[in-house]
Amino acid sequence: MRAKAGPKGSRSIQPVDKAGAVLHTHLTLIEVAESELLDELCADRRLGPLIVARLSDRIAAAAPGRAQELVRALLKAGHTPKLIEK
Amino acid sequence: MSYWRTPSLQTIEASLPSLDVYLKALTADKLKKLARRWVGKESYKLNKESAFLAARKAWGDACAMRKLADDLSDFERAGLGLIKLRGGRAAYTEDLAGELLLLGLPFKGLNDAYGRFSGYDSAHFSGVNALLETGLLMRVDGYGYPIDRYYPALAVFANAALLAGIEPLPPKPLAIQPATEGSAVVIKRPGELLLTFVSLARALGKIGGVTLSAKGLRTKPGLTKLAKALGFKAEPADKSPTPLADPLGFYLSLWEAAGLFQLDPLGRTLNLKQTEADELIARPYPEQAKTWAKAYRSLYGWIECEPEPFYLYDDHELQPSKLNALRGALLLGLAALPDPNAWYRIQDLSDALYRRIGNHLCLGYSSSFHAPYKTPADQIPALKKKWEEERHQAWRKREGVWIARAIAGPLFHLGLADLAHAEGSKAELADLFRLTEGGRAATSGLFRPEAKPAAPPAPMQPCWVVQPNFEIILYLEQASPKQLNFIERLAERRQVGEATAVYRLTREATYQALESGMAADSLLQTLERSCRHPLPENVARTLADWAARRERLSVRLNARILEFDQNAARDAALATGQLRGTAVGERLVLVSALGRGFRPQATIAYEPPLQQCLAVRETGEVAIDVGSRDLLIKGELAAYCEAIANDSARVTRASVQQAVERGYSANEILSRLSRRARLALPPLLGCAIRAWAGGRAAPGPLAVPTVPILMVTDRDVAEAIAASPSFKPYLVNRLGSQAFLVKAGLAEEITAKLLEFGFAVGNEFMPGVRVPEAIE
Repeated sequence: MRAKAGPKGSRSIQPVDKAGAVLHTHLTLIEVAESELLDELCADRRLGPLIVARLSDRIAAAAPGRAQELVRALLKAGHTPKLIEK
Repeated sequence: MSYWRTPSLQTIEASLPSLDVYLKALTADKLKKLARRWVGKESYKLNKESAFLAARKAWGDACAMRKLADDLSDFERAGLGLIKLRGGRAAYTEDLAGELLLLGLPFKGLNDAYGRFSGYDSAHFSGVNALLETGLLMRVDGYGYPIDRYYPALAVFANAALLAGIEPLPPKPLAIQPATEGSAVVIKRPGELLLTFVSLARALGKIGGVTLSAKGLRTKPGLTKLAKALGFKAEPADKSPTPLADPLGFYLSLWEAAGLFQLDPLGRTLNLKQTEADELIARPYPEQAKTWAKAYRSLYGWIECEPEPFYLYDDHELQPSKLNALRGALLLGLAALPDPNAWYRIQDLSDALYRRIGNHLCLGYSSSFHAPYKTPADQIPALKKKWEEERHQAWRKREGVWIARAIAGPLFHLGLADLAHAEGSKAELADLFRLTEGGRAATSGLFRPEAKPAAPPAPMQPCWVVQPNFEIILYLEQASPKQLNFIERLAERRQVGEATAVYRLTREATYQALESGMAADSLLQTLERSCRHPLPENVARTLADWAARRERLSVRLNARILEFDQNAARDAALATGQLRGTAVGERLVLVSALGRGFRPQATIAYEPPLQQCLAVRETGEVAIDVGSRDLLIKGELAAYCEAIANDSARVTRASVQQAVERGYSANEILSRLSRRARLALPPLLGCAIRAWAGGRAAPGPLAVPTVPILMVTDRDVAEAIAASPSFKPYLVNRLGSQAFLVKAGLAEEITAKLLEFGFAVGNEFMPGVRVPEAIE
């Protein structure tokens, strides 16, 4: 799960203190009520590429910086996602 | 940045010139005229300084101002009253000029050629100039000369203490007879108007404002998007009996003039002031009408029509023009109708306005009467009469047409006038008009404020019917702004008639309503409460389904996930309350809040890359690429660079040290700079920034010692010295074939030794000697 340092500007790692946990910020997550729905989204030809990591059976992480694209694709596919800003 | 946008009166009032600035700009002659109000005729004997002091003293004295208010002529009092009615102490020059002429009160310069010296299109400023001349008004630019086309002033202002003692005076009634009520009366219902305003506010909120070009004009793509959201269609206005050319342009200009837009800092978008707009729309219509009439008077960037011959300067799209003078005169003319409740012929109003202002204000060329040379005196009256008739006909063709279009267009669509056709009339446009309740409040009502307390807002009443096919029939007359706002958010508008509007409930519209913050349960309750019949069961069930469907899938933006090494560590952290959140899968927590003392081992930010728009040179110069710069770059650079010009900056020792004092580290500066630079940073600049920042990141020490070098012209001598044991103690090493590095501190000793062996020793660099390039 621990991400490698990516291209310049896309990710920055700032060591802070030793507490045995890594904080991942500015993530776009998809959360569904049933795991079958997430399976369906991952299998979708337009939505699949935008979902990069499945964190649990009901939560997945989307590609960084492509949140708007993801929302548009979900709406186009007939979903009505509830948008939650932190 | 747009190069010009007319500021609002509030903005103008916030930056008015001081009295000293204004008085100092006046000539001695004008100062003495001004001082005459308080000093009397003796003022003409004062020198400029004394006149300045006398005027300044009186201007700051509230008692002197009250006395001055009592001594004013009717024209002066009415003129200042017009400014007071605007709610402040400033007025746009153009619309005030039209109003002053319409007052119908005599003033100095009304009947002579004063004001025409700089051209026919400046004659309408004669009323404003009469007030400027006496010092009762001042130009906002602080200059002291009269206003004309060549020395324009956007606005004028008056002394606040003087205005406090002024009661607005109505204009002299127009000489116009009421007409009998006509047929085919057309009435703009307030509900229809309200719907236009509510839908405009909603569309602007949804789209995010009006985009502007670099010149400050509204861009076509932005307008097309807005027109689509509003359902406005591009139809030729001439075909309508109530013509409103470019309705979207009209409403946008109107709202801008009403102060409902705010220009963004870059000057490229007009953003709606949503709260102010909602608050204004929610007021009873007669109250709203006052704001809309005021805004109509000073709007620019839109015109009613262009009757021939008609000439308008290009700047009418960006600032008030002579059209505003005519609008001001027209609105004040409506306030001067003998009976505000009666029907009048539009033609009669136009003629009455001609008689009142036609000598000074017209949209085209205004000729002056000059009898031909050597015309017998007895023929001159006949010639003059003929000339006057021609001029009147020209007014009817130009200003008369404009007035008819203004009444049948904007004034009708703003709910200020009802229209009708006279008996037997076959004209396309209505030829009779009558002021509505809102029209009376916005014109004659301004001079007759009613003491009646404001009526409490009427309780909301059921105003729509929801049909099983998901269509909603809305009865405009009964709908309140709140109900209209609700239905505009929840459903898609399909059709608008005179009395009703038809909406359709769709999944998309309902989703947008829920996304905009409407709660699912209140949605159903509000829909049911304002419904005249019980909500059809299928509609209620489907709406509940749509709302529930949204709950099934969420997208969290800017979410935080905490990753632990082990499940146990995660559970312990959650149990101790160090963080709040939801456990996700294995070892992860979706964080809602982190405790203050909790320090993660590392932070990984999944931020999108920012624009790389900098070119950085070794000397520290940073050039911003104008084509790809973003909003943040200048602010970012300001944190650790010195600004050189608009699009360039420089990293210097001082700028880095200041940044360090504010908490930046060398690594932070380098990371920010390299993240925004198009190419890799020059390594030397990296070292320099570390060195300037000091601390642990600073590079290690360097030294530039002065070491003696022995240079030998003769190669054989060089070989001999290299092989000599006598010279070995003095030398460190050989540099190339003809030079030696001498040990520090032994330069004098080796020189003595060389002299001892008979060599001629100097201390100048010898260019002919072969030494390594590095030494050269």
